[in-house]
Amino acid sequence: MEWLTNNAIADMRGPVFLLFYAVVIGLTLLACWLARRALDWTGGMQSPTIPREPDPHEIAYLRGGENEVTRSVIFALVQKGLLEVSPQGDDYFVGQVAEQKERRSLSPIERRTLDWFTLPQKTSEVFRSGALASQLKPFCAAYEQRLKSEQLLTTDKMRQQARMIVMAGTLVIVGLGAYKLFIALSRGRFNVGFLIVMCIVGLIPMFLVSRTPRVSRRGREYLERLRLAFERLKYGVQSSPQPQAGGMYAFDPSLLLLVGVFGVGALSGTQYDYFQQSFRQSALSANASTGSSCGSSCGSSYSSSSSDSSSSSSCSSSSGSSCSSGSSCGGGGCGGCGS
Amino acid sequence: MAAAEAERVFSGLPALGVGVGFREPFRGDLFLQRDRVDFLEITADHYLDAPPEKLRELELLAEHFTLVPHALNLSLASAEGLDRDYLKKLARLVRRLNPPWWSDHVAFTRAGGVDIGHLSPTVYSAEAARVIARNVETVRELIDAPLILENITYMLTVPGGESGEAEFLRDVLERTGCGLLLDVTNLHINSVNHGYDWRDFLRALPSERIVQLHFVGGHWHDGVLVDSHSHPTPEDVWAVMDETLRSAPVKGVILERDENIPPFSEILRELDRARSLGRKYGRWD
Repeated sequence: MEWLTNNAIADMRGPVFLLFYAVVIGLTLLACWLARRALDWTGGMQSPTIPREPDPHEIAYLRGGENEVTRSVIFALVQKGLLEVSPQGDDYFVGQVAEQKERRSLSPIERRTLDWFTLPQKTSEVFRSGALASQLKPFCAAYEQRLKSEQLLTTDKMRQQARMIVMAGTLVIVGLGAYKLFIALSRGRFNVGFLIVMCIVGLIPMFLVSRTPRVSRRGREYLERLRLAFERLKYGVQSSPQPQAGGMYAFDPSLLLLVGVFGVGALSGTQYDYFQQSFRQSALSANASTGSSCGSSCGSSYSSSSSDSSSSSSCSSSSGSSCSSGSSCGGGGCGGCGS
Repeated sequence: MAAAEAERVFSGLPALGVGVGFREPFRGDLFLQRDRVDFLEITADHYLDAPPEKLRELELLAEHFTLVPHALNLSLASAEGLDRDYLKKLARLVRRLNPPWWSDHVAFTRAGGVDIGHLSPTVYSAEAARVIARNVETVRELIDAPLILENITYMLTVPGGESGEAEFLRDVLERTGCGLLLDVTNLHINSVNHGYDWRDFLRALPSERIVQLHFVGGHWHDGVLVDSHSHPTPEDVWAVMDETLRSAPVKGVILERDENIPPFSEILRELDRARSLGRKYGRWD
């Protein structure tokens, strides 16, 4: 057993070992990153075709989970004239419109959402734990199942394997550090501060590397294709529609689709600009009070937890559209995020 | 290409139905209205030196629609021959899309190495038809897909001609073995601006070679009807289209709206009307 305490690594002098340790940490991180990336083999698959009748709520779910579905459902109800968003002081409140219209055409998730607003609620309340977004989880199960069957979301198995990879990597980094620490202490050397710091510093990127995207590579590619297909709808809906009698606007399925694909940020500059502003504010206030981060325009595709529920992150992006050399030539488009 | 072989090729082409010339503003609506748009015509020149974004767009369109490339700058009537670089890029695009057919114009856009930037009419002579036939042969060395040629509008008739436009087109089609992309709007505009009867013109064409139609509305400017692709299709053009669909085995029609673009619902209304006309004569389902 003498080889355990007398070998090239054990006898390595401090600075040389730290250099060696840094190389081992680097290689381990690289190996873990490559292994975790290889787990998601969906990148090479053919992306699904654009549906003939895309479901905005399902797309919202793919992009950002329950929070994004909540936003798109509320927006659908606002467009249908069943909910209204009104400013009160510094806050925005969502409540039922006094004169309720026909409800029979509503989907179960829309009915549940409408019922939740029996009393007006602050927009920031919607995403609190146990509030509306949580209550819509059961309705999102069908989306989850379908998206997983299409390999657009990463599976529990992928996440489990990713955890195994992280554990293996952590074992290498911590194991080598602990071994050297044991040797140093057994030889009466206590200048081990750098060793401990290097071990901790090496583990931080390990946890970043280990983060498994909630949306698979196939899913991210699909979202990109949806954005490319529908980004031009923005220009159609921004051309100042005329309100109907009573000040309401006609239900425009293109707008709801835009919200599904790009998030409520796509409403900027439309007659529903106030909606995206109210939800941007709700995200900020939810951040301040609960510490959770929740973007107004798009959800994150990352989840570090093993559960399938997603945490939303604030992000926004834009992408310009290309301009053809012909006479038809448009401007920039909303890029959204989620990949 | 022998006449019999050409007829065999064109009669065997699939009936595509009714489509629209792809323009970026249509993109979102096209994906939502796929049931009402049978195929798309893309302007080939937009994708020859295209940035990645345009190529992604092309890939997305190709996965969801039958695409027919329509080239603008081959300059088939150029006596100096073709721009080889342009032809190679065009050939690459056509091979990539593998369309049932593709098209360019009976015109020249380049002379003496200078790009004119406009589709210009050639002289209606046997020599000009031979030039086009020679250039088409060059094209066929690189592109196998059937080529169809489009009639253009012209403000003035080039002096030195030996025949009328219809006779010239017939001569070109016979020499090249190409099909005809009959722009019924151009035909109507030329008939108005140059004072002839479009029915006589149509009768002079080899109807069995008419593969595809273009249609749209233009506008009047200083007493001249201009092919501006800017207005709804006028009734006179619908009449030309009706007669053409009745008499020719047309495989597809394309609405070419470029300017003053209306809500997509208006585009669809025109497509639906064209579809009904084609169905009336059993051109497609």
